Parts: sequence; structure tokens; C-alpha cells
Amino acid sequence: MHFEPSFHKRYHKALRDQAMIKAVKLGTGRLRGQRATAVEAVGKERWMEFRDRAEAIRLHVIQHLDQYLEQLVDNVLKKGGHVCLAKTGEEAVQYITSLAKKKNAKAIIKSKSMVSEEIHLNPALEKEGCNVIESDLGEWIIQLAGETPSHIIAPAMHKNRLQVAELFNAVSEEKLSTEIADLCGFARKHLREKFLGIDIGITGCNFAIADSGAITLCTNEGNARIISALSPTLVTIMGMERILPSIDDLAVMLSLLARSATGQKLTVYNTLSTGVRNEEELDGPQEFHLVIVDNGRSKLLGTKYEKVLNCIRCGSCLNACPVYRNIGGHAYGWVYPGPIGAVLSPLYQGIDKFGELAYATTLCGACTFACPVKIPLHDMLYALRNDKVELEKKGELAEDIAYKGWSAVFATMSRYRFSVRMARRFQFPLVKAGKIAYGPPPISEWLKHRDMPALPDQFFHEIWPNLHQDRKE
Amino acid sequence: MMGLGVLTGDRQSFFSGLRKNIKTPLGGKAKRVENPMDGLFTERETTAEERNELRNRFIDEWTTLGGKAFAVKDRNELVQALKGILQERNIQKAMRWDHPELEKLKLEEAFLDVQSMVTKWPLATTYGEWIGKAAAMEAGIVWADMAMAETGTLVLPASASQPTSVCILPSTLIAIFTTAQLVDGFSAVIQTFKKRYGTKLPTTTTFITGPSRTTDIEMVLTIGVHGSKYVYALILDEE
Amino acid sequence: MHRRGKNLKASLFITCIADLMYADVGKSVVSVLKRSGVELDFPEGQTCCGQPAFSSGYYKDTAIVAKKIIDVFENSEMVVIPSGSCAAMIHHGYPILFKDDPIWRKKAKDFVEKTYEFSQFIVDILGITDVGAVFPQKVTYHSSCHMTRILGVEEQPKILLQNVKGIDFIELPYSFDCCGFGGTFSMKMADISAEIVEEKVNHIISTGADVLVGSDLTCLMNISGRINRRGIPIKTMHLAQVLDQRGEKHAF
Repeated sequence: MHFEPSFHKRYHKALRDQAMIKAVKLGTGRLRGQRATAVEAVGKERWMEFRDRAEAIRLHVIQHLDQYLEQLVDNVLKKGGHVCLAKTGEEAVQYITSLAKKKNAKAIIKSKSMVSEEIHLNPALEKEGCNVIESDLGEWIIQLAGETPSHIIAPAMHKNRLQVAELFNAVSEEKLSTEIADLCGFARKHLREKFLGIDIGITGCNFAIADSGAITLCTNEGNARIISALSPTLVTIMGMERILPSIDDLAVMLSLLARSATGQKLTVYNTLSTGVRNEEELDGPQEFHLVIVDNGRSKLLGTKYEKVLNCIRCGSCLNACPVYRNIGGHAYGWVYPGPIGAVLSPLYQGIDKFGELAYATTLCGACTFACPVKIPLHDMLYALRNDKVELEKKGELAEDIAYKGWSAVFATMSRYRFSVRMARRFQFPLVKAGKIAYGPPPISEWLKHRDMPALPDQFFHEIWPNLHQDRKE
Repeated sequence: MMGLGVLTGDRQSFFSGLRKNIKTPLGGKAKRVENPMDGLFTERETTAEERNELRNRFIDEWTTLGGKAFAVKDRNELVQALKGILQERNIQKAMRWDHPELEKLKLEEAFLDVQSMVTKWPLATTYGEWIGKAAAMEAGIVWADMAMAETGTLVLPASASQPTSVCILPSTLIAIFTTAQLVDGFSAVIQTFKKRYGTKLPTTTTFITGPSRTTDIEMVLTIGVHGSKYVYALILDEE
Repeated sequence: MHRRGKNLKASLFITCIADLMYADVGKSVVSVLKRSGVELDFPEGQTCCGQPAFSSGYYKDTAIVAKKIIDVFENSEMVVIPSGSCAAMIHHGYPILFKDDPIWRKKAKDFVEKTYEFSQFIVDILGITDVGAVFPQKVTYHSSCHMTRILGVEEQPKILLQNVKGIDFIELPYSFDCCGFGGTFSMKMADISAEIVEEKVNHIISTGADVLVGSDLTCLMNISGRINRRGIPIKTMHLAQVLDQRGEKHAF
């Protein structure tokens, strides 16, 4: 999917697509409402304890990431699984495409993996002549549409049934109705055929368990479970931070994940797999490959952004965000939308490309409060802005000058009082009926949709002496 | 036993790069959370009466999720209930785990009078053969290892005789367990797993919480997309 | 939290927006605090908490002004500020600004510990939940983001409002949702900001309230700006103005 490089152009395009916005509002509204109900059922205090515990678990893991990854690698290798340590996305893609070539694999089926989107795996495999099909319903819909997911949990949230029917009709022999049950029935049938003829199955990884060399996969549809049972060769792609020490840590995370994402107590299918099947087993992979991807994650370790690696990809920050629900996921311009995307995109892809996203927020903090692992997302957005203008000196000149001026004026009482009196005296060309009626940018931007009061005849500091006098009596 | 897997990539450089970046804060690094589940999950030994309550709880959760659950007093009632399900769903071909409790039920005979054939796993010995047969099965019958009442979850560790394919492929899943196998939630499950397996987990363990579902189109709930559409839990009174 | 008797001494930090645009609100703040037994002063030299520059990432420029503010209030025993976001800026932002400067870090810490948001001050410090106000109107309340999530002050304004005689208090749906102001966001991404404030205004209309009350003037300027542009006859008041009502006249 090609993204327009300017965030402003992207979001303006999004704002014009009212059908899409309506769908996103419906989706996020439903999800965050369900989450709120689930949190209430757990109890506010207990939920806070859960979050504190999860944060502590993740913090420990991130600070000892090398140890846990080494343990995982050794345990996977011991059980006969292969491991690829991919420092870059390209290395991961290279490994998987070579594997596909070696196996002469034509039929490749995938379950949801955000990392695979990040490293652009599908196009590379398709270039090798493989047929790659997404098995998660939402992912399949956007694959047919040639788009990237617009929401971490509901990839096709921005689409309505008419659009989905159109996409499905392009691959269906019979014409389908626009009834959702029919569309899902078609997807089940079509994808079931693919499940029965897999050369290579590719999954993501919700959580890797270091002490047992196991991979946890969570889906509501059951597609990941089917893939890991029926793929002769199974590949699991894992962001290197998606790891926990043991299965008791997993119990905490699973309890938070489903409730945060959709308000469910648990995702319908949670699978714990250790990779290659035993000699006696008939189902399960004969060959297992764990591809551990760095792709910029290790650069965040030891920095003020380290905590962003806590993320369990639940999407609750998206559902909480007033900006996300009014512009949808594609406006963010990369694989990760919403608040988490606004932080990850500049960190992974550079401030030059995605620095604008740090401003795509009202800094309301709803994301931080929704986050089950307590990532201080809004603080990171402040920090990214600081990085941009002060550390990397990539701010706009006009703004740099404006704030220099601001600090000069506001640090000195006499300058402040003089400036505001001058502003009041000379605002009259802009004023009509007590309101600011016209103004240069940025005031004109405000005025597009809202009234703004003019500076009044008296400032509070001018009235104070009288108030103070009254008091004395 | 299988040999070691192969590692691709420069292990040295990959990990030294990591270690270089990890910083130890002033107060030291965050310690391992010793008992992660402590205080967050219900932890207790249950009495038979408490397990009856857990059964009711499980049935509530399972039903809310869109499944059907029945309490049965004895094996006769159990087999009758099974036959009822096969008729309700018009199932002619089912597969089942090779499990000692399922053996006791003599299902092959019992199902004759509802014109259903149940085949014990394995269905065939080669992938090419069994995959086609498994795909054609209308129901999978399993005996769960544990059941989590608070969430309505079946705990299904797999093995050669009790494979994942039986519980994940067919559109109808029938799971049986006794009230003795009911637990509150994760606490008991994880503790049992740690005691039983240590860190050597089975190749696969599946936790199933209701029928397969999606809301990917317009947030409308549809049941039965890839996994089972109809899920039944039969809960036998413990002896 | 310390509780004291009457004739508490406190300093007023009016905030730049109240100073420049909403002097009436300042008047009500003074009036309500006086009536509650506070001996209020108004240290000269106060200008702005620094939020505009801080939110835009200009920490160095912010620090210049922040240091001035800390000095201005150096001799104050307590500081009361009728703005959740400004109080949050001081509590949350000042420690970040001075985290690497041991001297100013300490000064900022002392400043933080004696600074309270207006409703927080009345309820938690003065121990007053009923200021004796009379305001028989249908009222709803917007919970501003920085005040609730960053400062942690949620219930105090509502407690004070609900104890106003004659008030018909209606809970605002999604009251904790952002109003869309976000500082310069309201101008840099005005079209997105407009969508967000529209959601907020529609929620307000749905309550049937005649008056919208809030604790943050920037939120109120934003929301009332949209309400007025749409020509909707809903009044907007700061909490202090409501608490200043004695039922004698049409106050607004």
C-alpha cells in the first residue's frame, strides 16, 4: 500500500471519508465500551494491581532481554527447532524467502503478524512465486484490498460489508450476498481449502516463553491453531521483545490482553506450542523455524523510550484515542496506527519521516491510562517533540523563534504587561462584536470552526488592586 | 530423539549489541517477579460442593459464549447426551481422542443406533491420508484435562493419541470432563502444569474458551469462522 | 494532606489565560476563596506556567519562564491555581524540566508540594465541600484530561458542584473524553480538533443542560467556541463562577 508522505494530506483525506470514520467510531466505541465493562467486572483496584504486576514483569524482562532471548533460543534449538536471529527486517525476509525457495513452497498461509507487515514479508514471498494468503478474516480482507491493517485488533475495521462483499466476489465463483453471515461462511470455506494444502505456515507470536521454548498464539477465529497443527513447515516470526520468563507470567498477560483488546475474559484460542512434533505425533510441524526480529528494537533499550517495548499489541490505546477515532488507522502512514504507532513510527523509521505523528495528539493521556502494561505513551509523545525541536533541531524556524520570543516576554513582568496591552490595543482590526473575527494563521485555523473571544477591556492583574481593596474593608 | 536445530545469524553480534544497550539504572535492574500470579487469581483447594458451584459457573460462562453445556450424573446419561448432540447436529462422522475415559464409554457401539460413526485417532498413518479424513469429520470428541470455571475454558494438552486436529478442525467440538477436573482459573492450571511438566511442555496445549468467533466485519459477531461453530461441554459428576 | 482552620494564607496563580481573557473568572475565584476564609495574595511577576512551550517540546525556553515562576512564589505557603492543566504542568512537567539540575529540582519539588488546583484546594485543604452557593440551573460538567489523568483530581469539582443549592446536576456522557484542544493542536490540526470538539458538544447537548461547567479555561474556551459557532444557547462557566453564585441575580 502506498502512503502519501505528508501526514497532513493523509489525515485530510481521511476526514473526507465519512463512511470510513463512521466505521472506525463504531469499532472503537464498541471495543472500548466492552473493555470498560470487563475492567469494571474485575474491579478497578484489582485491575490496577494487574497492570502494576504486568508492568513489573515486562520491565524485568526488557532489562534482561539478552538473558531471556538466549534461554529461548537454546530451548528451541534443543527441541529441534531452527532459529534465525534477524538484526534487520531484510535478514528475516531473506531467511524466509530462502526457506520457501528451498522447500519449493507455493502455498503459504499466514496468521496475524504485525512484524511481518513491518518487514514487508508478503511482497517478497510473492516475488518468489509463492501464493501467500492471510487466514485471519480481517487480514484477508485487507490483503484482497491491497491495504495495510488500519487497527491492530480489527485490521479491516474501516471497511463496511458492501466493500467486503465486493472484495470477496472478486475471488468467489458464486455471487455472494452482503449478509455478514454469508460473507463469513464464504471465508471459512475458502480458507479451509487453503488450510488443507499448506506448504509453509507462518504465524506471529503473542508471547514466547523463555524457560520452555514455547510460543503462545492467541486468536478468536482459531486460524493460528489450525496453521500450527497442519503446517509441515512452520515459521513463527517474533518481535524480539515479545517474551516472558515462564507460564505463570503468561497467565497474567493473557488475562490482561483479551480484556484490554475486546473486553473478553480470554481470547477463544490460546495455544502454547513448543515447535517440532514428537516422533509419535501425526499432526504438528515436522520443521519449525523461529525468526527473532530486532529491526530497531534493541536501539530503544536503555533509552527513555525503552518502556514502549512492554507493548503486547492489544490495541486499547487506539480505542481510547480521540485522534485515532476521528482519522482512522491509515492516516498514520505505516503499520502501527494510533498512539502506539505515533511513538513507534518515528522511533523505528526516523523523525524525518514520521515526526509529524508526535503532534497528532491532544496529549490527553487516555492511551497511557488504557495501556495494560503502563507504557507512558503521552510522556513519550512529549519527549519526541522535545527530541525533534531541541535535540535534533528539526523544528520549524517560525516556531523556534516564536518560543524564544515567548520566553523572553513571559519571563519578565514588564515585557509581559507591555506586550499584552499592545495586543489589546491593536487587535481592533480583527475584532467584531467582541470576538476575533479574522486573523492570520494559526489563529485563522482556530476560527475555521470555533469562535474566539477578543482580549477584554481589563486583564485580571489590572482588576486585582480593586479586589484587594474591597477585601480590606 | 531429534537433533539440535540450526541457528542462522551472528549470535555473538546479535546479543552483544543487545547487551551494549541495556543500561542498569541507579537502583539496580528490576527484579524477577517471583510469584507473578500471587493475589491476582483465585487460589484454593476445592470441596466437591464447591466444584458443583464451579460447574454452574462454567455452564454460565460457556453458554454466554455461545456454547452448550450439560451436567450429567453418570456414564449412561453421558452417552445419551452425546447421542442427542449427534442427532441435533445431524452428525454422521465423528473422530475422537484415544483417551482411556473415552474408551470406557464404548462409543463406537453406542452410536450405531443414531447412525453415527466415530473413529478413534489416528485416522490414518500418513499426512496425505489423515488430513483428508479429518477434514471430512463433522465432530471431534475429546476428554478435557482441566476446565477453568471463571472463564469457561477447556484445557487441552495434546499428545500423539490426543492431537490438536481433533479439537480444532471439525465444526462441532464435544468436550467431556468430570467435576473433579474443574478449577477456578489459571492458578490451578499453571501450578498443575509446573508440577507435571516443569519446563518440558507438550508439543501443543490449547485453551479453548467457547466457539470460534470474529467481529472483523462491521463489528458484527459471527460464530464459527475457522474453528468450531458448535461447542458442547458435558460435565460428568465425579465419583 | 494537611488541613487547617480559617484564615489560611495562600497565593493566587491566576494563569495567563484567566489573566488575559477571563478576568471575571479570576474575580469569582477570589470571591469564593475569600468567603471560605482564605487570606489571598497575588504575587507580582506571575505570567504563565509554561505549558505552551513545554507541550511543543521547547524545554529550554520553558525552563526560563518556569524558574521565574518558582521564584515569584518562593515565599508563598500555598499556591492556588484555577486550572487543572496548569497545576498538572507544575506537578508533572516541572520535575521533568529540572530532572538533571539538583538545585532547581529541589526548588521545583518544593513548589509542586505547595501548589493545588482550585477545587482540590477547597475540598482537600480547606475541608469544605459546600461553599454555600445557590444556582438553580441544569448543569453538566466536563472533566478535563490533564486534571484527571495527570494531576489525579477527579471527584473534587463534582462534589462541590453537587452541593450547590438548587443545582440540577446531569452527568456528562464520556465526560473524561478529551475536548480536542490539546494546545497548539487546536490550530496545527484544527480539522481533527474540530471533529473531537464536535463529539464533546454533541454529548453536552444530549444532557439537556443549560450550563456547561469546567475547571480548565482552555477546554472551556475551546468548547464554548464551538457551541457559540453553532449558535447553541448553552452557557459556559468555570467552576469558580458557579460557586460564586448566591442566587441573587442572573449571574451570566
